[in-house]
Amino acid sequence: MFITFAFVTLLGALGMLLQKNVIVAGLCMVATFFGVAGLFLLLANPVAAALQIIVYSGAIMVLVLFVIMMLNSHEEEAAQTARPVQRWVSVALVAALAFGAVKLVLTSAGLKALAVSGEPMPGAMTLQKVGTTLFAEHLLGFEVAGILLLAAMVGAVALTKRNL
Amino acid sequence: MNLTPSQWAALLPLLYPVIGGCLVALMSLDKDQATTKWIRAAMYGTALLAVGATFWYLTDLWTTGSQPTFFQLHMDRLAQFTGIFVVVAAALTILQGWDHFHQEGWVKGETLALLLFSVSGMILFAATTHFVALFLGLELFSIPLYALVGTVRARSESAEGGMKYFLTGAVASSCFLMGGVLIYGLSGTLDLAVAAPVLVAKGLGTDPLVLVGAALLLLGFLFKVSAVPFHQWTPDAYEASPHPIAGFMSVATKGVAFIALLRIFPGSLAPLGAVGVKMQAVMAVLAVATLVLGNLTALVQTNVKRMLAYSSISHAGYLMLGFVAGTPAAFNGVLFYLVIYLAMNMGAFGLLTAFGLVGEKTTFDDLRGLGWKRPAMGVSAAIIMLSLAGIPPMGGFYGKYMIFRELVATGHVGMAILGVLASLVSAYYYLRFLVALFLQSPGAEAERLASDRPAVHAPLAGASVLVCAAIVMAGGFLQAFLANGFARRALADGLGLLR
Repeated sequence: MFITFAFVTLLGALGMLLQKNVIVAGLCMVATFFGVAGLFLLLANPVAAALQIIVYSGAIMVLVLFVIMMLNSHEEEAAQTARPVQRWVSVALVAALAFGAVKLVLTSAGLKALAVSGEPMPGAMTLQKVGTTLFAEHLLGFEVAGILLLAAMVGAVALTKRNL
Repeated sequence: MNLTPSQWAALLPLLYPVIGGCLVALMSLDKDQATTKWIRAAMYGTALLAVGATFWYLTDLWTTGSQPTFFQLHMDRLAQFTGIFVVVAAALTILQGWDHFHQEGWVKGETLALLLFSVSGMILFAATTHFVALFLGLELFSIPLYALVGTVRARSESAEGGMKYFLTGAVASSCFLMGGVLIYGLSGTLDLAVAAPVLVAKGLGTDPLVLVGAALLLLGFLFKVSAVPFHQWTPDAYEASPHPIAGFMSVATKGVAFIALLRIFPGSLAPLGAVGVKMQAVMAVLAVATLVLGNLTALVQTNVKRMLAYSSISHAGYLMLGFVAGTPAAFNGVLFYLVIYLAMNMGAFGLLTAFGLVGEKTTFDDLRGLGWKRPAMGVSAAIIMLSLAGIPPMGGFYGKYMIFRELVATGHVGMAILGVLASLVSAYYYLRFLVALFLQSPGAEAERLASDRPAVHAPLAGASVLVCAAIVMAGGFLQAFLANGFARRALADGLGLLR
């Protein structure tokens, strides 16, 4: 199951990067979001999975597609100058990064210990649990997140409103 | 849910700026703010009041010596020190902003609201070891700053600088987040101060994933202090942003990032000995790169703001040297240097406003002969620039001295010599500022243009520059009192590093 969802996520992300048509790229993003939701389910967290589908695949996707429609530019603009060197350097860097990450995960003693002993499996996340941890343990973070959203809104208005 | 008085005491320093920011945002809904002066004055007054209330409250906490907490927010001495630091920088920014935004013709309340939100985020960022609160604090002060860089939309390049800062900043933030997640994944706790002993107990102190996590956290901090190689955004962002905002970014962002770095790396993650050793090695290499690149690039700048941006990069290098030494006395020097740096850089950017340099007209040629026209500003400029160059008896010298002394004491003599050489090089471009002010006469064309324009009238910016110059001088003559009275107590009571 994990392999399936991981592949869906990775292929969606790759498709999004490589796709020239913006709308198809957006739809590939939906596939990625669904894959991530599946991974959340495997981690016994149906709440996060449901939120992922509702918020990301639902709301944010619609928003992105609307913006694409409004801007009415379906094709990616061609670069003004071809930069072959940068292209190959970036490919090499990404490959090195991927190799490093895989090596890191394989050599990590901590991850091996987790796989052998297996931490005691916590019960599935429920909405009640999310609520109590959010408002008891992470009250400060919750409030600050609210202020952060307000600040981001004020910033967006300050940057874009025509007659400020 | 009822909060105890102690919890309120921890929260209020964050709440005052937020409430002020909300009020200012509501006031700026008024359509007449572009035409009616008292509305603008009321907005700036509210912002100053919010900042002043925070300042008063924090000094009160400091004098009573209480260190209240609210969940993951620890308003200890170090956090109070940071709060006062940020609030003073914000007050100077607001004063200079009044003059600068009038010169630009872009006086908007949203700017103030964003600044106040950013202040709140900065205080939170330096007052917690809990990763969720830390990250939210980072975002709460960064996101308003991204918007503030591009705030003067009348200038086309402001959007460019804001966008560059935003994109690079978002990447750095996501690296920071990934680093925290890796440490959380292996330790099972979000509080970094708790995570370190847990990791040691599990025998994972030198696990590659932990090291990578710590490295990514370090990357996030180093981006914010604009250390090489994460410095490319700095000149563009400073050049694009309004002068007071550039000053605020250079001072407050850097200071808060250094203090949070101090709290996390030598503080919370101290039990992971290997991480600390590796951090110092990385810091040593990057500090050298930062000093060399920052100073050499600053030499060839013709734009004063870009020169100040590279100078702020090189100052990050001096402060990083304090982490290379890594002794409590060196951290004491870092805190002292940050205070002097606040006055020096807010003063330097304030000078641009006080001389009435607007928009693109911030080259050395635009400064010619201004020192004689405004003698008080000229003298302040001399004090501030000499202090930036690290010439005794100004405050900047003692900050550097405290850091270099500890470097020599811990056996990093070569780095101390490099630091001294770097400040010798830096004297060239700071003196160039003074040469332009006093020794060069303005061109005929510039004289003609200046006589056409109304005289520059920037009383608040001028006053703030005078205050900065006074702090720099005080830092020079009262350095023992300041360092022992404030920086030392912040470290001792806040982190428990000094006894």
